[in-house]
Amino acid sequence: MTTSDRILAQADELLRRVSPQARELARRQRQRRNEALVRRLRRAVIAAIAIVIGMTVVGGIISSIGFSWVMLTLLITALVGFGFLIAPQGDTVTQEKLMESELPALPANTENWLAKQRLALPAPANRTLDKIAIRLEELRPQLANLDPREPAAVEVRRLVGVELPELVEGYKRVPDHLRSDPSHGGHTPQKQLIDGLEIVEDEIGRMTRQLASGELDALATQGKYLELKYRGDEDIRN
Amino acid sequence: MATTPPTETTTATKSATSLTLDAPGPIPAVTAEKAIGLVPVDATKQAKHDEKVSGFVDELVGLDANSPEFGEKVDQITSMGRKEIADAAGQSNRFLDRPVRSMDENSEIGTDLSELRRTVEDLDPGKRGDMTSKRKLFGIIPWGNKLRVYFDSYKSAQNHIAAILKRLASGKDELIKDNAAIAVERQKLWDAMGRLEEMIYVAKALDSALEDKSVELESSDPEKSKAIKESALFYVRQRTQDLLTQMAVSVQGYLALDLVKKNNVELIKGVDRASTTTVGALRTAVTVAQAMTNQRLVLGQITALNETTANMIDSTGELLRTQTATIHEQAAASTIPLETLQRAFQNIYDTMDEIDRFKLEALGSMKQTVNVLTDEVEKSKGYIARAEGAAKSQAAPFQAIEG
Repeated sequence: MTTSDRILAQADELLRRVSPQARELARRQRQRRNEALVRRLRRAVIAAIAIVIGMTVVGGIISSIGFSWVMLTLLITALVGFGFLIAPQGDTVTQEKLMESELPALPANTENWLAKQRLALPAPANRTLDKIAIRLEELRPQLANLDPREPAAVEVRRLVGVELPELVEGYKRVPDHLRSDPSHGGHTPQKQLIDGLEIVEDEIGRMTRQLASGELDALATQGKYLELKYRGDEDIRN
Repeated sequence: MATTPPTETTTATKSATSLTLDAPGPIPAVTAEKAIGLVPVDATKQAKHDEKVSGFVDELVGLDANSPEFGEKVDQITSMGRKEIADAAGQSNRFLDRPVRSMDENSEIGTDLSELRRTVEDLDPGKRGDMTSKRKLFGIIPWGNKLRVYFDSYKSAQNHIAAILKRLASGKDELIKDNAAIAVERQKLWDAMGRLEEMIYVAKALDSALEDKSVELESSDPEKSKAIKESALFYVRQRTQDLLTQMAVSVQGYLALDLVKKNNVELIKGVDRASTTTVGALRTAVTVAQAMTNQRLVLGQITALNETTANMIDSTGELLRTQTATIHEQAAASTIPLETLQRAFQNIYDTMDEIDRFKLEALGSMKQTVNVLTDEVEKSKGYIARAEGAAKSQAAPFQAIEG
């Protein structure tokens, strides 16, 4: 890489980081981290209380609550609580898990998974990845009430849960040194990845619009209904 | 019939309140050739497309006919208008759904109407025989007043009638809602047809441009001319056919939706009129009861309902007001008030008969339209399946990286 290329790339990266999308994304990531921390703390506290109660009950039954029993209880409580705090989060998303995840949770899972892949993906793809993350966020409320058997749901699942991860994994399988070599018709794998991601981004946007069209139509229909009923239509008036 | 109103008055009342519901005829099959040109493509867009087409053709001609780039360009033709077709096709199921569902809905209204008719027939003074004579127990002993008994039967029937009228009103609301949905759908369909029309324009422009080029190149570069004719031009024509087929289906659906809408409008008129004439007859009964038996017939339910109906639609309200005024006049002045009541009932029957006739006719054309539409949609499905297949085989940006 020449110096000018590097400077350009760095500038590009800086621009991306300060873009509103990236800031919004970072804010959401922080929020998610905080939520996870609160969740862990809550679990640790619950576990600690359970242990204290359990130890007291067991101590009462074998009637051996003495100084050493109290110390033992404290020790176990501290260890388990600490363990809960540092235990790795169970919800690390893998590609397989992505395919199995429930439809409403799919966008968030994909977003998480994608965030983990970032390091492995080339810097120019970051901007598109940001856009995809935003799109996924927009998609989320639409999926909450969608029947998973509907064709639209199947379509979303295939794109977000299968095709997008396949694209990223496919790129990751290409050896490092070949990633910026032109291969297919002069396109580098990097370029192909970015093009593919752009298509995915576009499609998620289209699907979101399509899913929202039902609600838009319902609103338009209700408006028209009120108009026809109370303002009348020339056809009905005559 | 107990009293036969003079023919003159009958025709007068009939023409004053006559109701004709026109059932629109069935939608004939729209051929692909006739389908185009419905939604015009404006000149600026035409110019833009012309430019794009000539650019595309120039690029294509500039490429080596055996190179993969040439193949890629040709592939672009095969996926031309794919989104537009899929978009329009996505709506075709709903075209079919609409008329079929509307036939069901209409049958519900039909049930209510026939129930109304049965109830009203029970009250018909014409079916009660001579009511002016005294009622006699065992035919000998005088026993009450036949008219009084007759008007009492209104009281027991009014709840039932009010319930039916309420159902009819909500049925009418459903019809209006249906029409609102149709209006929205037609708007969307119109937009989709506009996009299809644009794609058809592009396809036709591409067709003539490619044809010209292939003729031009015939002597200088016969191989390329052949390649253009056999691949590019072939696909362009195939796509044109697909687009035209989809266009025909969409136009057909558009017209079918209009048919459903018109039917609904007519039926709304019918339901309105049936309600108005029923309420009118009941009001007449109130007046007649007052005049003949000095009995105050209180039909609170009905009159309250009448107010809401009258407020709903101005024309019917107006009609009802004038009608009621005449009825009052006639009933009060007429030497034979029962005649007026009889005429009011006749009005209900006329309305119901008209609705029945309309429904029969409308059902016929609706069924015919649905059949034609089903055929067209089936035909287009074949094309769409092929188009989808073609799209899947070449839309492979993901495999390109993996492979």
